[in-house]
Amino acid sequence: MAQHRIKATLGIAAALCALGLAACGGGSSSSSGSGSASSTAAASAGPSASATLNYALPYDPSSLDLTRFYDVNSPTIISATQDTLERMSMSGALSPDLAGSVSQPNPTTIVYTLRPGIRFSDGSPLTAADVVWSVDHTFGPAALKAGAQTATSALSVAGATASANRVIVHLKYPDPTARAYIALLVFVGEKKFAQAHAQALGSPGAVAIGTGPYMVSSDSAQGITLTRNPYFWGPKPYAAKINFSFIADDHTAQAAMQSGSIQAANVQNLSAMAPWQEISGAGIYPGPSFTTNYLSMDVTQAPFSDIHVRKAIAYATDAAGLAHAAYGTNAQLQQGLLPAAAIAGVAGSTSAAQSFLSSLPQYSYNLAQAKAQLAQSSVPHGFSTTIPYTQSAGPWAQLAALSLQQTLGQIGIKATPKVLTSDQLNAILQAHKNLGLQLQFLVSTPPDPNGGLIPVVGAAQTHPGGLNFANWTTPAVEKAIPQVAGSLDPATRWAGTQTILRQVAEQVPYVPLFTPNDVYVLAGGFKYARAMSVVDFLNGDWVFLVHAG
Amino acid sequence: MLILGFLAKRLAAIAASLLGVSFLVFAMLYLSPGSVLTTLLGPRPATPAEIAAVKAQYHLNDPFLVQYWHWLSGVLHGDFGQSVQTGQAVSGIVGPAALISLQLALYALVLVAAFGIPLGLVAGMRRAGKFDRISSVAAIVGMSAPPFSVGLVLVYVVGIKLQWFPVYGAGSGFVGRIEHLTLPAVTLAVGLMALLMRQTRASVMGVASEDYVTFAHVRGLRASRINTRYVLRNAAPGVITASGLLLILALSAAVLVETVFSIPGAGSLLVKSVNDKDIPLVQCVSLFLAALILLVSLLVDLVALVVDPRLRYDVAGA
Repeated sequence: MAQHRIKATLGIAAALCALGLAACGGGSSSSSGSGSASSTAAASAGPSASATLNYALPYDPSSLDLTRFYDVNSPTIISATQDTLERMSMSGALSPDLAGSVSQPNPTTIVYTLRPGIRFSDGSPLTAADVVWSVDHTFGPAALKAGAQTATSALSVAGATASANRVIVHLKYPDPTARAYIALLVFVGEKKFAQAHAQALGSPGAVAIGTGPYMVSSDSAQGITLTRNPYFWGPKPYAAKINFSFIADDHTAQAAMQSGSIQAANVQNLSAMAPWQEISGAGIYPGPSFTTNYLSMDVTQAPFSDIHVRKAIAYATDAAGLAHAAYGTNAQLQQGLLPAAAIAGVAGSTSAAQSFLSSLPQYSYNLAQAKAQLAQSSVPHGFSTTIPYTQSAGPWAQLAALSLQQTLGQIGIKATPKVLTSDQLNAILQAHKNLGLQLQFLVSTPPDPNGGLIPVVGAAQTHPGGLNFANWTTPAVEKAIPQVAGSLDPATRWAGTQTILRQVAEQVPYVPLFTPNDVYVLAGGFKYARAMSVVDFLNGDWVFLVHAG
Repeated sequence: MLILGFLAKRLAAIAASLLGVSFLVFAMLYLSPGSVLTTLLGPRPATPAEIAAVKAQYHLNDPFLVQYWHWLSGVLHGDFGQSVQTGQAVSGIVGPAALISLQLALYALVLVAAFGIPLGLVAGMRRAGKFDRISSVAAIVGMSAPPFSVGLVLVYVVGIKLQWFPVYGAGSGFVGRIEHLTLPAVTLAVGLMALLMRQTRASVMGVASEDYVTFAHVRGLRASRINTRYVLRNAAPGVITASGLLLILALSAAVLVETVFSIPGAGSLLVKSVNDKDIPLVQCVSLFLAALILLVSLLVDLVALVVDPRLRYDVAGA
């Protein structure tokens, strides 16, 4: 009897183990990275019947609806399944996508004429009503009320209406960047499906139906699988299938690539590129980002209100050393608050933008100059301050705090690094009081002064909720802001942009540091057709740039 | 009847414990710096109207106890709420993640038991012998090696160089899941196996010196019968209790292993939801882990009752 009980107990335990291991799934039919690219044929421009690209992103997007989870990684997936009205290039130039033509009959109206014959991945025809719904879902009063994270990006959008095959977007006021924001953020989805899944749109089982080259065939926390959209209106991309998985750590991603489990990844730690370069057959594709890392100093708070103090700190900042420590060779030093790519559109060309930035006052690392500036200030013997930073800001923040502690210490300023949580730092910044010295970054998306410059200058941005953490403005800046933000004339906008950037460089409320690259890796028989940039992954061009290699 | 009564009391205690855990977790999240508003609104500045709308929707203006009651009354009706981040039902997010963590922990436990118990039995029976000495050294090494390091070594040697198993992800389907969870399970099992081996060895040594075992040898019974029927059976209570504790340890250590192998389990989900201050998700995952630990303890006690009649008398006496 006793023997039987033991055997029964052990038997039940074994069965439970087997049942537990067998009860897998969660709706995923993807292989989660266990296979390698199935096609390594010679380079071909045509679509492959079987090539599967396994792409590791750093984290699982909480939602594939950009209005719920507004970040830089989820568009990589969303843009492969949903099209936008126009596509934007790295310079900010717009080209037709779903909209065959675009016109602006007056400063507050944009008219998109849709291409005929486009279908969603379920076979339904694309209509203007679907686009209107998508615009209202992303921007506008209804989106704002619903708490859409994209809503405040284009506050000028009042709404959209449909007229036959045209979509008319109404603006509350002239906005030179409205078309750019619409091009970047309005991913067109099927209205009927979206309304039927309003509560969980973007979650597994409720991912929007789009017109893009791929469609979502499975979505779980383990991975997202895309297969070709049979109704796609454009040329078929090379890969027949794309499996997205999520690997937070570079070491694990490198191991997965070396073992052939994945073929594509985004580099997280730019200062450690060597392991990626050692992967056999891996192509490294660095590209410029729109991010600027910079220091800000609260000009309403002593001693930062003293321009000599600000210049002393600017001269005492070893931007080149910091860039190398944090990003290796994958960062470019900034000559102005925005990178050339972000102002090339209003400047007319990248060279014009670069030429202007080179003409601005520069504060290269020079401790002698720093001491000289401090000697002329109201605190010639130095002072004490803190440098708050968060771990989530990235490795550069801690490195910058430690570097500044050293270099400022040599000119008599005792700067103490202070780690805060994101919430703690946000609370301090939003209060806009006694902000002192801060480590900041801005992202100029779209690549336009309205994207990165206007939000951080001017009196309007010094109130709680604003991003002018230097609490700084001048009469010239106040006069230039409406020229940049509201005028549709490129020459006027360029003049205003130059004024603001020159004022920043002369008054030094901000010390621009560097722009880190985004680096993409592709291996396992795949290659990108050209150099890549962050815009390729925002607008969906990346899927068409993947080829056999 | 006896066991049913024991079970009823324990289940009531589990329910009370879970209530206490949920209250504690809710309180700690409530008191921690930051606000769920940051999660809901993102990094952009929000207008006062937006903030007011979000606060009303998520009852953020209500007192702490009222907010807790809102959540608790939903749970009592089987509704764990919706993720603040995605709007998706929390049970739909936690379920698959919890299953993966449970499978990983069970797989590790199977490995631990399959190797740890026999090795411990042999070491205990051959005390001070060559096998005992070698296995003791191996156990010390196993217990000392951090799971993170073991995982990286396994990834490099087994995953990259030999390409025997995948190095990340949880896989799908029965075979895929076993394949993907092998390296993580071995990583978890190395240290735990050493612990169980030592525990089994100690229990076996205690039993092996008993008179009835000596008498069984004298009577000429087969060694295998002595080892299983007499030694292991009487050493089982200690081993079963240790196994239960090891399963709980496996669940706790799984967070680190899930990070190394990029497995979307409950551990990594908990970390992410705490960072996002996704309160409904944190509550649900915490409850799941607490419930699992309490149920494992109960299961261990029940199995011990079945295996060891002496314990039944103790329970009856109580």
